[in-house]
Formats: sequence, C-alpha cells, structure tokens
Amino acid sequence: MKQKYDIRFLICQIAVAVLGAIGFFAGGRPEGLVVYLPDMVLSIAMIYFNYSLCKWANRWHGFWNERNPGSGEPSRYFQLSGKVGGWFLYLLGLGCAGLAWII
Amino acid sequence: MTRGQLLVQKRREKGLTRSDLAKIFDVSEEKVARWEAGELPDSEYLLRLADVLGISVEDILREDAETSPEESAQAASSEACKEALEVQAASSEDAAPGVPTDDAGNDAPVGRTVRRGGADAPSGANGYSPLERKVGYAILAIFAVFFLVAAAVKIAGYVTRPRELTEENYREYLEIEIVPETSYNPEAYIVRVTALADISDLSLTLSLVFPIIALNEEVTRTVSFSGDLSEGEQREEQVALPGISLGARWESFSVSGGLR
Repeated sequence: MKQKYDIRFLICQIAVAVLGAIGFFAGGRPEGLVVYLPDMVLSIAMIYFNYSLCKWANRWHGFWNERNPGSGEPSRYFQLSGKVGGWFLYLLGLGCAGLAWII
Repeated sequence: MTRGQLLVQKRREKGLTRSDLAKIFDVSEEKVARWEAGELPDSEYLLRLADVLGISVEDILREDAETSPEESAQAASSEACKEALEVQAASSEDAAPGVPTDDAGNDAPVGRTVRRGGADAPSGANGYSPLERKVGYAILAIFAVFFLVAAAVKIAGYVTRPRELTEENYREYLEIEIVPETSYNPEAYIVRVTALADISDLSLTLSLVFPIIALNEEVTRTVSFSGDLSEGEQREEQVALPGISLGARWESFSVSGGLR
C-alpha cells in the first residue's frame, strides 16, 4: 500500500516537472532545459531513493575509512539532510521553470 | 532458582526484552532490571506480570521460586534456543530498535523486533513519509496551478495577438533609424528599418525634411520600403542631399503590413 501511494506521488512529481519543462519552450528558452532536466532527474531520484543513497554513502565511507565498518544504517539527521537537499533542488528547478513561463 | 532468575527465564521464554516488559507495564527498564535482580515487584504489577510471563503470583512471591515439573520439561526442551534468545535479548537491550513501517506508511506499533546475526534493523525506507506526501501534494498543486494559469495566459495572448501593423503599434515591431553616412558634415543619410518581428507585405513610406545649411533651405526626400521582413532583418535606403545637413525631421509617415 505504501508503495502504491509512493508511486502515485512520484508520478505527480514527474508530471509537475514536465509542466515546468514545457514552460521553457513556451517562453522561448529551450536552452534552459540543459540545466533543468538534469536538476529534476537528480532531485526526484534523491528524494525517492534517499534512504538507499544515505546507506550507500555510509557504507562507502566506512569501507574507505574504517578497518571494521558497521552496518551503514544512516541516522535520522543524515536522512533528513538528504531529503531537504533533494526538495531544495526540486523546488529551485520548479522556480526557474515558473520564471521561464512568465518572462 | 531465585525470583529474579525465574523472571529472567520466563521473560526469555516468552521472547520479550526488558524494554518490552517496561513498555507493557509502563515502567522504566531499570525497574524491570531490579525485579530481575531479586526485588519484589509492587503489588499493582504482580497479577499482570504473572499473566504475561505465564507463571503464578505465588512463584513471584516466593524468594526461591521452584519451577513445576511441566515447566522444568519446557525449560529443558528450549535449552537449544536459549542461547540465541540471550544473544537477541542482549543486542536488543543495547541497540535502539529499527522503525519498520506498516502498509499505510505509518510507523509500526512498538513491539518485538527480531534480529538475525546481530545486524541492525533498517532505520528507514525509500519513498516518502505520510507528512512529506501531504506537504508535497500541496506544493505540487500550487506549482501545477501556476503553470496552468501561465499556459492559459500565453495561449490567450497568442490567440488575441494583433494581426496587422498600424501606425499605433508599429513601434513594437519596427525600428526606424536615420543615421548620417559620415560623422562630419554629412551630405547623405541612411534610413535603416529593422524588423522586430516577422512582418508580411510591409508598406512603409517616410517623408523626411532635411535643412541644407549652405542653401539655407529645406529639402524633402521620400523613402519607401516594402516586402516581407523576418525578425531581425534590416533594410536600408540611402538619401543623398545637395549639401550638408545636420539633421532631419519627419514630415509624413505611413505604414501597413501583416503580422505573423
């Protein structure tokens, strides 16, 4: 059930991102997509796969820096910071798309 | 077997940790530890403790609690599992349990967490939390409405755009410059027209008056442009004069054309 709700939200995120991308064409600035599209792909992936990315980062850090690395389970703060970063990138992209629509 | 040992044994047989017992009875883990060290639990907990652990109140009250023959057999048969249970109890008493989520994405009720081989339970999951979904839907709705309104305004602007070039709106679509051919004592001027948008069937007529210094009189010249101009395209016409003129003024002007 959770996965169904998550997929639904993910589709809404992607749909709004696509609406924003159309604005770059409507505003006569298709070159803005060079930055917008990677930003959207990266931010949406960061938000959805936040836990896995944090765990991978911890595991890699432990493997590289520690003789006996632990499980790599990320703390709540690490996960929260990943989420905040992902949403910041996503909203920044949407803001730029909004400007492309109106200017 | 002492009271404390009995409580420990029964707790482990039931697969409970000290933390679980503390939560069931709404007491601190230290209190449970003191019970297991031999302290007699308060009377308000005796009945429920006996019920949870599957023993009698008398067994708890006895200083040296002796198990019944049936309980001894059960204890013997579970000897192989006891070591694994102790490992789990030790690891669960030290580490914070993970927070699994149920189908609705909410945190599961606190209860037993079974761990294998000492590995930590997942501390999260991919996807979104319920609060994140709620706030996210609100933000997405705001942006979606904004984008749709902007799209509607753009479409309306395109549909109602002016279709003809007139003397009222020509400044938005045409840039007209009159520049001297030389910067010093010019005797000829260049009339330059730049299209700021695509224009079809342009018909532009300019009548310019140049005061000639040497002749002390004014000379009128008419310049015309026609045809199709695409955005950014320029047309030029040279106007030759009989003498030096330091400027020009427009006498008459007419423009027509179609806007794409």
